[in-house]
Amino acid sequence: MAIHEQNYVRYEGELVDRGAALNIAWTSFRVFLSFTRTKLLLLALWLLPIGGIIAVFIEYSVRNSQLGAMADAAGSAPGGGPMAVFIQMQIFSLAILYASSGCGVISDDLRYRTFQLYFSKPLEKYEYALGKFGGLFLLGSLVTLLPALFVGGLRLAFYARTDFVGELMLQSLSGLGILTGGTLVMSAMLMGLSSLTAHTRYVVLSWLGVIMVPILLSIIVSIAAEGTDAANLWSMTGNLWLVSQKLLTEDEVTVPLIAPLAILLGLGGAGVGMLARRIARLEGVA
Amino acid sequence: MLLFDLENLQKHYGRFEAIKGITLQIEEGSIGLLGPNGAGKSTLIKTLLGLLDFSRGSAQVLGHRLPDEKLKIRQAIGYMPENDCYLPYMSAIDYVSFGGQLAGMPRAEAFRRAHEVLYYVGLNEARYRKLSGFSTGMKQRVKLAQALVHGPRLVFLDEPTNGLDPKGRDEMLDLINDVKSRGVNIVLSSHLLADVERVCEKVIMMNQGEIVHAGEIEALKDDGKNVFEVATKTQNAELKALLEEQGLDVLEEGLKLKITLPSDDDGQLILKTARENDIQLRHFMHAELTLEAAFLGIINKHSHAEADA
Repeated sequence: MAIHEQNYVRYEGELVDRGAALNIAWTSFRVFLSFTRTKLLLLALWLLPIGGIIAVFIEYSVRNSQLGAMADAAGSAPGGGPMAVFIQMQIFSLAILYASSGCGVISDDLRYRTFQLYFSKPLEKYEYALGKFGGLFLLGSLVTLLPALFVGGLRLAFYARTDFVGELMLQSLSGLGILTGGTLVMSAMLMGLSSLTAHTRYVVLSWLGVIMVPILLSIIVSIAAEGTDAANLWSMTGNLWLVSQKLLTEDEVTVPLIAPLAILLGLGGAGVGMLARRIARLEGVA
Repeated sequence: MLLFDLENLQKHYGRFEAIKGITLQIEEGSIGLLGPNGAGKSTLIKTLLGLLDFSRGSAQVLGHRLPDEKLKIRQAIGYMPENDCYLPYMSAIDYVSFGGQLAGMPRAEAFRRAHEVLYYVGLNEARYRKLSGFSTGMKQRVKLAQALVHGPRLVFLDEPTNGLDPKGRDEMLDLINDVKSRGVNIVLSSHLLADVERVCEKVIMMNQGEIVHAGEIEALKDDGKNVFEVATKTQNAELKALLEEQGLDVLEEGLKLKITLPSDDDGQLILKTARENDIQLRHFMHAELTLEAAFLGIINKHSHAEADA
């Protein structure tokens, strides 16, 4: 049909000045989810939380069985150890999911010059950054916060009528807090890395490097120092492990809580700094 | 209302002056933005969109003052960039609808409008397809659609016919003319002067960060200049040099020379020069001044004046 036959009229409706960051977050999230590899990976990564949910069932059954009564475990609250392990697993899942689907969060915009679309519209640079961060965080929360809500919620539901429901509530909230913090820090780190180059494959490599190399260093230091807790400070996941141990278990950890928290904040801050530097230099229109 | 009201607008990058004190008032309508590479067109567009802070002067676009009201300006403007600016794994409908939402439209409204605009630019069923599979012509249409989706009062079009075949180019220019006829102001930046001539009534010519001409195209083509089209057997360069020595503007266009004479000269000066220097003329006729010739003449004159200064 010829264009002159179209019934086109100019839009005269309302235009609002707010919500750009939300729009970017939601659209980025939908774009991440549209990849087949994301869907397949999410299916695979959800096997772990499903295992966690089954573990909650088993834990409850054991405590209510004769075996539990014999061990006299029913009189005290379940420990936070399983929760700490669960957090570690989900953080690894997050690293894998981000390596597969999240690395292009900024680099794809650099590569395909999508900045021209964004910055010819009425939005500030911080709204763009916030929106992209939101999209990535939403993606990450599918393997961190969502499973934690399921597992924590189920645990609370099982023990709702016991005396230690308050203790469990605190445990679940701490776990949720650690996963939220971990997701925030890892999202900020990935945003920073992704803003350094227009080549997404380099971002994937550097992301794997940032996660894997410190773990290897941490293992080497741990062997050399005969298993000292401080060896965990070398890696991202090790720091989260230290925080989990401190907040969720009664195990003796020789490192003060402030040390891993400061390192995690520093890593997140470095990511935000790299992103801010890149965005400040963008002019938007080629 | 004025589209642009610029007063001594300057933009420096260190010591380099990208825009050298532009003062300009342009009324609503369709305007061609012309200039050689590095003339400052992109810097001017970026500045008018509020993406670059200017160093000195003042600027208003559609009555909104820069830089305080840059977001209001971008809301009232649509921008179609020269190069691709889309994620190839997005569908056309998602891309255009997203553009509408970024401009401030409610989500449902943006989606409905995206359908309308994509239909308008001729991407009927293709609007559901991923952008990676689009041809150059389809990509240009999608870019135009995202510039139009929120109903802007002014659209910046940067090389909208780039990479299009003659039919595609014709259709795109038709489309732009149709947009214009619906009350949308157009600023068309293009190297193809024929495109500018077909769409625009006014033209802004830039060179080396300055505006060298701003006004109606028709007035530019018909400003009392007396242009002759001449071709020699083999001595075009020699004739050109001789005429330029006499202070005339001479442009080479293919195998012909376009010579601007004083208004009272009926070509005798050219004939006399050729006769005296034994140059054989093969072609001699009064010519209409095209936009291209006017553009080249103005740019040459400005460049020479700059060099002399």
